[in-house]
Amino acid sequence: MEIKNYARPSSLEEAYDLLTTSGQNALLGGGVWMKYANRKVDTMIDLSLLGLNQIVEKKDEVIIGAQTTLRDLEINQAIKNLGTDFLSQAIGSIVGVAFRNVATIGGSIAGKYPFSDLITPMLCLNVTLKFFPDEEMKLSEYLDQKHKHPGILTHIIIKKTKGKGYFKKVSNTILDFSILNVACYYDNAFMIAIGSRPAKPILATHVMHMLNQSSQLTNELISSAGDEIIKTIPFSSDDRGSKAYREILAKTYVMRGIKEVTKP
Amino acid sequence: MKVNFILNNQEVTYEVDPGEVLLDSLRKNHLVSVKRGCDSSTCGVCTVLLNDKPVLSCSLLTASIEGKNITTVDGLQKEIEEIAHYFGDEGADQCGFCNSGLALTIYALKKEYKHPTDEEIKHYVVGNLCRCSGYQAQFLAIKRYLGGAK
Amino acid sequence: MKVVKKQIPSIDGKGIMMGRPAFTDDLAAPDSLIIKILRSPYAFARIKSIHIDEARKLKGVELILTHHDVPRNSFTRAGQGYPEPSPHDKFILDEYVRYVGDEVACVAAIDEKTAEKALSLIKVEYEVLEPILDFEQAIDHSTIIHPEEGIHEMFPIGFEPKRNLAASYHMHINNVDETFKSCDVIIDEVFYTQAQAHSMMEPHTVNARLDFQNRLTIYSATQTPFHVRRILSQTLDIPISKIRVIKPRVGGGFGGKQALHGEMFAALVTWRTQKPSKLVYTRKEVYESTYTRHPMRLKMKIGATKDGMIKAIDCHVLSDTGAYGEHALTVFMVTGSKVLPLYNKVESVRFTGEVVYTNHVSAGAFRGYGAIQGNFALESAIDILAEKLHMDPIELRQQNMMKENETSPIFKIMGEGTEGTAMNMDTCKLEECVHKGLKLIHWNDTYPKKILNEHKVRAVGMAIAMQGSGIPYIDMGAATIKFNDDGFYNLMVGATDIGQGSDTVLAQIAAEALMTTVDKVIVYSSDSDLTPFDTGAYASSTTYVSGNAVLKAAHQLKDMLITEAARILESKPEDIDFDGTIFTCDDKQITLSHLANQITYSHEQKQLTSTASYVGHKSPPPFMAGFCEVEVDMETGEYDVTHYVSAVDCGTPLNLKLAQGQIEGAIVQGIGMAKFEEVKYNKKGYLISNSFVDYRIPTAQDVKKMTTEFVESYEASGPYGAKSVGEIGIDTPPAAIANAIYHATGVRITSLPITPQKVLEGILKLKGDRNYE
Repeated sequence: MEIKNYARPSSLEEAYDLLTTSGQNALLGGGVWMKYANRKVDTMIDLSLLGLNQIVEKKDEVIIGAQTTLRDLEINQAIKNLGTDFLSQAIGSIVGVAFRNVATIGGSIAGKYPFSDLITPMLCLNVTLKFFPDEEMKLSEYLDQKHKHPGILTHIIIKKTKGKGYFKKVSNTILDFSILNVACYYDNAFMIAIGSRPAKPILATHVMHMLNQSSQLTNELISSAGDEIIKTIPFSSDDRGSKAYREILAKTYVMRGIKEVTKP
Repeated sequence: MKVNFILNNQEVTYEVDPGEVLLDSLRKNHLVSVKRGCDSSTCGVCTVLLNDKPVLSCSLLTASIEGKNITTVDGLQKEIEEIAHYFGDEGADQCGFCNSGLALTIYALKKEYKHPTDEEIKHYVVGNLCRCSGYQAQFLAIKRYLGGAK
Repeated sequence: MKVVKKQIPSIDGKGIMMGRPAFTDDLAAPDSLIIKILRSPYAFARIKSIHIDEARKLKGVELILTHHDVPRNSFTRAGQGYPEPSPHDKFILDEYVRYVGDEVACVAAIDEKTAEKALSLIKVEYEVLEPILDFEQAIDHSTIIHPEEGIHEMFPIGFEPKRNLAASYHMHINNVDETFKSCDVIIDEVFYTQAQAHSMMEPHTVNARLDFQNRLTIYSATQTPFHVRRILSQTLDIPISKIRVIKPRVGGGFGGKQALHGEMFAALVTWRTQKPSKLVYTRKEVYESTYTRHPMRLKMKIGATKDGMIKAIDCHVLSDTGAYGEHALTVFMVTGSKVLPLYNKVESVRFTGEVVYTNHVSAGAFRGYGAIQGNFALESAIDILAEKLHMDPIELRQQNMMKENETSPIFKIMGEGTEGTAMNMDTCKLEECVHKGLKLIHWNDTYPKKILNEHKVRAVGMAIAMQGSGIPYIDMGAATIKFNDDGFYNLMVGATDIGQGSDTVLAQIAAEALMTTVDKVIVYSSDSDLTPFDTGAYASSTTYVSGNAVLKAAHQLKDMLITEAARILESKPEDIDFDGTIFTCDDKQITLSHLANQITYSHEQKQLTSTASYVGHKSPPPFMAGFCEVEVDMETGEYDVTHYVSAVDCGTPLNLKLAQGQIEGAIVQGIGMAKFEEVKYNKKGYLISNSFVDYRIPTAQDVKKMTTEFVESYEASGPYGAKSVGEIGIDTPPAAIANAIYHATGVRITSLPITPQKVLEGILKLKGDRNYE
């Protein structure tokens, strides 16, 4: 990567000024996929002086600074408590420890990677993104946005809940991009997300609705849910897997996930 | 630009390009124990310790480590020699290219976990790829270093 | 034995882990010019014009080479004995580019940034040609990949470039068609094996400089330093005496460094600029522009009588050697010569095939070297045959496989490019290996399968294998041992340690023979000026061939030492007792270190050295039985290899842990080839699998459990009874896993890799699901 200047601003205002001065300026967000960006950057903006690498646990929510490394997130007890460890486990399935000690949650979310093992389980939780200057939005809304967000992602706020979570990453080895990933979450209502389809992670809203409307969770219902996954979620083929194969994987693991998160 | 940091317990100043990664800066300054193995932040042979935590030196801008603590095997000779002793005993050292990066990861593992399970050990070192050994002899060596093996 | 067979740690592992400069790029001259290569974006094209003026003007650019600027001598990049069995079909740079990633121009500049900028300023006009990307269409295709003049074979190998044939071969023993007529059961199957990438951790790298005698010194991550020196000399028209090639520590080769990579460019740049230069491949270049395993189509027809006697084997191979023909003939021949003899009681055998050019990355040497491809086809076919015969697959093998003191007529017929060498299996513990492995994997508890729960099934599968130990009458290794003051030794060998531990094992052999300890035998290897000749690390030759040379040299030196001691003690050599440290004759004695210092400094001073060479007269095969246990998820096709058992006869394992490491490392590579490794191209011939993210190799979490045990035999022709162990481990996993998957699911997969998707598609097809027709 070609970088002309390096700046380490001491305030968000200063950082934002630098960012908006030129389209050739960029935020340093963890760096692991930098080499893939054949970019020429005028000024690289390093936010490490701004204290955005902390995880603060409050009574009802966990506030995560955007510069928090994936590893710090993975081993944090408050994060482990979310969904019986499913988010922590998902993060732990991303490459290796040395990678996760560099990659940041902000960089991973901003990258909007379709294969992201972080985003899929996060879609099942109540996640708010906080930007500078003043703006908040839900994770799903941010992911739907086609344009690049002009602000600086500063915090990720996750509401604490007492539900059970399930995460499955299908890949040949842990260092692979997922062929498919599936997350299920149950806290009196189901949240189901599927990613790496190969397209980006989305909520299986139709199936969630179907499950949440019923009064009883029978085997027939779970089976129908599996079939509905194939009918309502778009999958396609790439060199990691065929459309048909992804459909079967999604159906199978959603069904297993539903059973897992509703186990007494 | 100038970057001041602590390298193997010594204060150093490197003159770098803003776009230069730590791996290249270190090798330019004769720390050849840190190796380049890939271009995709995947193989782990470039692993160094940043404030005692394993990181990929190929994925860190040298400019970003201002004031921080970097350790390579060159700064942990006694500890690495101990790990090497167990590797030698188990026949786990073949070509050796992955060994320096792996040794730092193992050293960090012992600091971070008191009594890791087998699964935790494998999970911690999984990012250090090896094509020679098949991993099993490495695993036995690690367990002996951690003090858990028979 | 005091040193051999003892648990000796490698002599170099500690120093390397502790960070000492050891690998090729660690030793590059600090002011080296950086070499970058401009590479073809097309799978097949002709360079109509190439303009370097703008690039040349860039400040800091020292030299640019195009096909107009280099000697026009065809050569082969393959590191093999001379004359090579590979066609001389490569020019340093050519008017044609034959795969995406092929070399177009070479730039040398003061730093990487300048070199890359220069690359972007080179203007090339291509005539894009229709590539051949399907090896089954290559023969007599309208596209001719090597239309140029000046290419040739070194001796007849079936080289017909106008038909896109790099090599072909056929042999038969008796008449298979006649024999098939008398068979009760015949199976006829087609198997496909994919291209596999070595993915060694150290990317290919080379650097060059002129020394103070103005000689060209090359440091290269290579498996064959002496072949590199010869090929550079012959191609660049530089006298061979002006070239020195040094192999430092190599970060893995597995065959991928058994051919030239950047040496030609580094040599030429330094020779012309008189400045040191270096070329370090990026991982992308390693995938796109070095070598792969030969992908193959194997037709296997086997006939047997209903009593379970295999009567005839007919094997036809089509092998894809990619853009250039390195190792084309020899890999293909090993597919037959190191696989078919396993079933030596047949009446007739036929082995035929062609090796074709395509516009793929050039295929070359890769551990197993054809045997893994052949093994997948044959050992899968044997299981298929067993079922058709209603016979247990273990019994079928035991009835027909090679046993000790037997032979096969194939050994005499098939060598490496030439005729072979007849030999008896003086050591063959294959039977015992099978028995041992059955026990270790608890075969009878599981065979064929065990249902674990509503969607998981456990099953077992196995395969037997053989390989070789060096190439008889062709591979030569030599060793020189120098005796030093105070009584320690320098062992100089041409033999190439690429991580397999040959420096250590050879030191053990010398130490055993000289009755000393390994720390008193200092090894220096693979320097074409300072070490004697060795063909290099391939064909599993180092322990057997180079080891025998070391043993000879050590015995010679011991005799010289005893002669000196006899002179000093005023007696006859036959009356001297030597235990490695002291020479005794009756009541007179002298220690080794005293003797050393005396003959170095004080009296009758002389330097004692001994040199010995060895060429094998046979290639005694190691044998093994590989057993795998899998657990299959019947709903998704995903599976784990939960246990892999290897029972190995490699003769005497000279260093148990290092031998085990060779097997385990090879098993995991074999599992990778069986499960998910795959070199993949897009429709235009561009390599998709060009990084560790897209080309997956096994990780620490993929290896569940491996059990490796040796069934010792004593091969009298090998050093302390040793054969070889470097390659055999890789051969069995593809067939063993295919057989286990069949037992688990009823699905027979005949093309590698055996992906979960293929397994599931097979399961659904069996269930009658229409979507999977």
